[in-house]
Amino acid sequence: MTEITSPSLLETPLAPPPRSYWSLAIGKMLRPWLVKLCVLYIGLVLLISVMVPLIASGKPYEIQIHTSHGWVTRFPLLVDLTTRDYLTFLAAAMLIGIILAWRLTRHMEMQRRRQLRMTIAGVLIGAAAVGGAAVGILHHNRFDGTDYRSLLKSGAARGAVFAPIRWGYAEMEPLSKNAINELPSWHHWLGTDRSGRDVLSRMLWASRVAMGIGFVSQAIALTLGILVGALMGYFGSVFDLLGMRLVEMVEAIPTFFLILTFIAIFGRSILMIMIILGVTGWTGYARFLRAEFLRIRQLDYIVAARAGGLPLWRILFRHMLPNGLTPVLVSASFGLAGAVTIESSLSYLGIGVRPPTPSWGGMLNAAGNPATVFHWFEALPPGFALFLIVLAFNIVGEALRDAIDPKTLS
Amino acid sequence: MLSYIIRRILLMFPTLIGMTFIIFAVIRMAPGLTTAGAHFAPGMLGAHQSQLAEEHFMERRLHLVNRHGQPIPLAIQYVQWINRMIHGNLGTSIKFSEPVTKLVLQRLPVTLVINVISLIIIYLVAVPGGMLAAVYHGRLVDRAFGIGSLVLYSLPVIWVGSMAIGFLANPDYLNWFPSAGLHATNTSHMSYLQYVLDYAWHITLPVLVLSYGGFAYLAKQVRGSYLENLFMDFTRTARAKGLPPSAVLLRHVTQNSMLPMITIIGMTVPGLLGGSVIVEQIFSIQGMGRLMYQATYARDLPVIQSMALVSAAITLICYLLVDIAYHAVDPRVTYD
Amino acid sequence: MGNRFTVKDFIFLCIFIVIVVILGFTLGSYNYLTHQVAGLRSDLQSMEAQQTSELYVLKSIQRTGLRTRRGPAGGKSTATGDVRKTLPNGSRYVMFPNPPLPPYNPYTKPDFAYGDWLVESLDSEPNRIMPYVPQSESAATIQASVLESLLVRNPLTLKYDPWLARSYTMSKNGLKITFVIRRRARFSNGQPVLARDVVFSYDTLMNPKVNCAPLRSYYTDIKSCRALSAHRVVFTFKQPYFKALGMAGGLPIIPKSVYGFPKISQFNSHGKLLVGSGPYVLKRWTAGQQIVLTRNPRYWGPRPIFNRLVYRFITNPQASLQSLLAGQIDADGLEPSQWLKYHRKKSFLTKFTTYKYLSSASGYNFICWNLTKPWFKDRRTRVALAMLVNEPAMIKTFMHGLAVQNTGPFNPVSPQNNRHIKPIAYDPAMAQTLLKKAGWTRGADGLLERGKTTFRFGLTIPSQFPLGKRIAEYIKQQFASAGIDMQINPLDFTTLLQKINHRHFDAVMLGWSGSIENDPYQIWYSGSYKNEGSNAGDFDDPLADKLIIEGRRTLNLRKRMHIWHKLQAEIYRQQPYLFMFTAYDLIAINKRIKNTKPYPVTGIAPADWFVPLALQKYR
Repeated sequence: MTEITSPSLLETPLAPPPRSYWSLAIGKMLRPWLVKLCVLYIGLVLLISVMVPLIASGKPYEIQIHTSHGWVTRFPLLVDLTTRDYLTFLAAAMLIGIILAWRLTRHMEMQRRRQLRMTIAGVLIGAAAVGGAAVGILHHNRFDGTDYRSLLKSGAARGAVFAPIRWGYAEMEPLSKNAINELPSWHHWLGTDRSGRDVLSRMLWASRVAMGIGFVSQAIALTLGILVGALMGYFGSVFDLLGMRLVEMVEAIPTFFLILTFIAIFGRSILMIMIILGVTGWTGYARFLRAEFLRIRQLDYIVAARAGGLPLWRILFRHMLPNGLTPVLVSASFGLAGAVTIESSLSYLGIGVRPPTPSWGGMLNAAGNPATVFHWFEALPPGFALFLIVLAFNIVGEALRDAIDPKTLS
Repeated sequence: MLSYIIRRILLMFPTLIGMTFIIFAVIRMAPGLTTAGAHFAPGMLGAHQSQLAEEHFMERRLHLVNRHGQPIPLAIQYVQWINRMIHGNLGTSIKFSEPVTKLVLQRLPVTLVINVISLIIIYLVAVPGGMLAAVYHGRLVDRAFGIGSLVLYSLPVIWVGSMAIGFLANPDYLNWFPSAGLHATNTSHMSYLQYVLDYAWHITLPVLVLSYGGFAYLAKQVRGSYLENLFMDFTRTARAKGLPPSAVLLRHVTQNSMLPMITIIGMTVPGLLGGSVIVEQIFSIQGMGRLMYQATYARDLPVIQSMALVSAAITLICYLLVDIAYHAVDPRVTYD
Repeated sequence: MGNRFTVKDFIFLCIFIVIVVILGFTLGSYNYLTHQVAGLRSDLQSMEAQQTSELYVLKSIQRTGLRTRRGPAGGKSTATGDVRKTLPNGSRYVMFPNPPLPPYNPYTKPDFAYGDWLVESLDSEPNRIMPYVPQSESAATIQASVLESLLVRNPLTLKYDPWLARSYTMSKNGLKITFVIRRRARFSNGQPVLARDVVFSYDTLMNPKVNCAPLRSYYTDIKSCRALSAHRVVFTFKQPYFKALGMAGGLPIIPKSVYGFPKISQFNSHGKLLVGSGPYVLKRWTAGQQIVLTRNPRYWGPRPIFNRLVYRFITNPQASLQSLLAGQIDADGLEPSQWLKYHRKKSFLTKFTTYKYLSSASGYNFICWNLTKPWFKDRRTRVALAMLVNEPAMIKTFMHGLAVQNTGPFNPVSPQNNRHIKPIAYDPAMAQTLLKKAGWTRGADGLLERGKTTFRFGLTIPSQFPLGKRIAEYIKQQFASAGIDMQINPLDFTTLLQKINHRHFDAVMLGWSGSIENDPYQIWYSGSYKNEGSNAGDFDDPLADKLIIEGRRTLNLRKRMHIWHKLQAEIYRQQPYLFMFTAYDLIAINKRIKNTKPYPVTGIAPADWFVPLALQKYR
């Protein structure tokens, strides 16, 4: 293991600190370079999907506009961000902070580590909560339709600092024959689509839809699956029988049909699609957790815990869950791949997110739908992005599965 | 054997009945049905009335209200619905104004044929592939096979589909395959052989797109169970007896690796059915998937309700057949 | 591990492959057989409809003796004997002893030949093809070859000529039209076309139990339809109406012997019963594939040129272009982008004749504002919205320049169109001024506001229309720059129509189809909002109402056109729609078909087409 290389932290007499099953499995999983690359890639896409309003936007960070009071400096991009954007940033920063804290304190002695981690987490969550409240009170969503580029061109503005990609996802070049279906150039790194919009910007914004729907829906599915699976596995008998029948019934309807049924009935906003994917995708998790729990509940330490009179929730979620979660996590990785695929398919079919919000599936449909003219350079980027992220999830899933295989766990 | 089959069929019924409950409940949760017209702005009398009429129409079609517009109690609705189902009456479509039974009977064979052919192709490719990978495990063939199948598995159907139709079925690029439908438009004066060839030509792309994702999953399973059996004692014994390696592989290892392959048929069917929604939409094929899509788009609740049930029934029947086959291959297996 | 490939393996493999092949063929033959069975079944159905009166045919032959068919043999028969005159009492009398010939007389062409099939594509499969019952474009196309009416419109002169009727007399005030039906006119089941069939057709159409409200609404001006004798029928109108002749004469006539169900509601439950007096009869309808019409062997008029008309359902343009190139269909409308690519290609032009024209049938696309909503009540706001959209650029970019901009609800080639009106120019600055005048100011959230109303609305678009989505996205951006937030809601067409019928939308993007002379009543008359007409946006303008009523009553063509021009100016002033464009018809026809020149106003029609003997493909 290359990770254990910081001798300064090894002063405590109890060195090396005990590593949990988890960190072992994850460490093992990360050993091949390909898997590391995939994890990095997923992290990058996640980061982009969070930060995309700052990366690709037609609004400049800073600009000086000529008004009746002379030149006034404005910050259109920061004003244009919605409250939700700011909250997302906060949540992401908090998460990154917590992950960093965990990684940095990993080699400390047990007692100190726990204390430190708790403190850091508390501070971060508190800060995020305060920040969130502040944003909620102070920030108001503002609709800004100003075309800053034409302002600059006409000389009514100067000194603009743009985001790295100077185009919003719905921004079209002024309509003309040359502006549409452009091949990659300095202005548009991946060219423009058939309405004259920057493909790269749309690609990045689409990652937000894909990752958002993927992670949120799987979080919902995981919660549901863990609840049902834990109940089935721990209590067995009637719970188990009924639960398993429910699982069978839901699984018997082909997933895509089930999702279409739900969409027909409950509509198709982004939130709804997240919920629908969550509600239809929990069965696998429940099944795996149930099997694990059936096994674990026979083990001595659980029997001891029960005999010791620990409360039920503590036994379930504190003692059994951490040990039963591994196969669930493996399937969560595949589940993410599945959710991203399904979201893109829905958008391809035109029942996903609303235009002009970009989605990889929707972009593919615009480029490759036989009812329109086929432009391969338009179909390539979204297809490739979709392929890469699904492949990355699958590779990580495979590696995770190998890593927790008891036969090979070192 | 017979008693096993009977028991298995009997056990299928609770699931089926439960499923009807779920579908019934979900459909009745649809907003706007029980509170017909209540959320529409007053003042627009004509429009309001026609909205009422529309909702009433939908409710009549779903048999939520009786002839006089009075709501039917839930329990009776359910019993009536089941009763109609048993008599083969799946209701009347709102979009197509035709009996759903007729629509399903028209479109089910199309989807089934495509799916069966895909299934055959999946097996034809994945089983030998998995065997090969197992025999050469750890070597280059195996590695290549593993990566290849993972890549295929991760390729999104919508991308491959639109690329295939854009490049291979497009007069602007290669005009090799037809881009829509299942038949050329002049089937009426074709001989039998021409007809079959034309059909094969039309389904090539859809079947390829539907099947390539299935290779990976099956091949991985085949490889796994093969590997397991390759190092079993009986294999070693057979080899020690001096049997030629091919005989060992074919007779001993293959036979013992059959079981998971049978299960996977059952597992693949719902996936294929779901996948046919996208494939049929891309290639404009009038099958079950496209019907489901059209119904979703038009919020055609009678069709959706029946399609969910029909597809579930198909899946359950597949599971049943798989279990029976399993039992036939390995009589030790019983239903727990 | 050396695993050799032995003979046994080979045999195993062979058996396996054989099994798979057999399985494949079984599936194939199953399909083939179901196909054949379906074909036979639909043949049977159409035979059933005709067989009812085989006996009757025999009888009528006995009675009248076998008369040779009086076709336009060798093209010698001309319009001799045609009478058009004004009777002393002021009524107009028109009599054609023979049905008129197709305008570009194909019979006189040197290589003219009967026979062969004409194969065309339809972009959607109709749900049903019953006469009168809710129409789709594709059902109407098919009905046009099977059903006939008393008069036909001459595509060159645009006048109504007698067809099933031998003559008609229209009273001076236009309230009474008397038709005399040709004695040899026969339905395809052999029954003669009689006055009682006309009355029956009218009664069926007007029966509220028959599911054909949209068509019925056009016939509400007719007071009565009575048979005077076996071959004479008279229509009386409640008030003078410029379309009276076209309506009475254009009513598709259906045989009472076939459609006279014991209960009229049975009319709605049929889907595929299509029997008329036309040159073709329905032979077979293969669901999802095609509808085949075959030559009516007992046709009363000139012998139809093609033996069969085949309509294939091809839903996407790429596939239909493929079929066209492969010779599977003979004629096809091209998309602008396809046109751009092919209309100068040598290899394409040697095989296909191409036409580009504006026809009276091409409709126009528009965005309809729901004028009951607070945003669109003010005229200046609507004008400003129109100014925000750069239509010439839109047409150039999205339509490749293959469309013309509309200024009002009338077709650009129609005489109704007022050519003096210039389209509203793209002028965002002017739009801002107008919006300000209309009371809109920028609110704290950056959107336009007026009182409590924020300028944020939804545009409903049909989802199966990719171009519509692009246009909507463009307009969204243009509006955004003025501080207007527009959301795009794509909906399935059926659902969208429901929403419109319920007036449940803010704005909707749609297209109306065109005709030679539109009656603006359904769309623009204020009363058409409440009675579920097509005035979904509640356009309510007293001047327009007055002009519409006046125009409908004016029988004099020139005076009427003058009124329509004024109406268009008023609609233009009010801008209740954002008028967009009328697209060109872009047609490619296989060169084996001759005499395909489009008519100046109505465009192509297969009535004149034929295939020379040497080029015939289907026997």
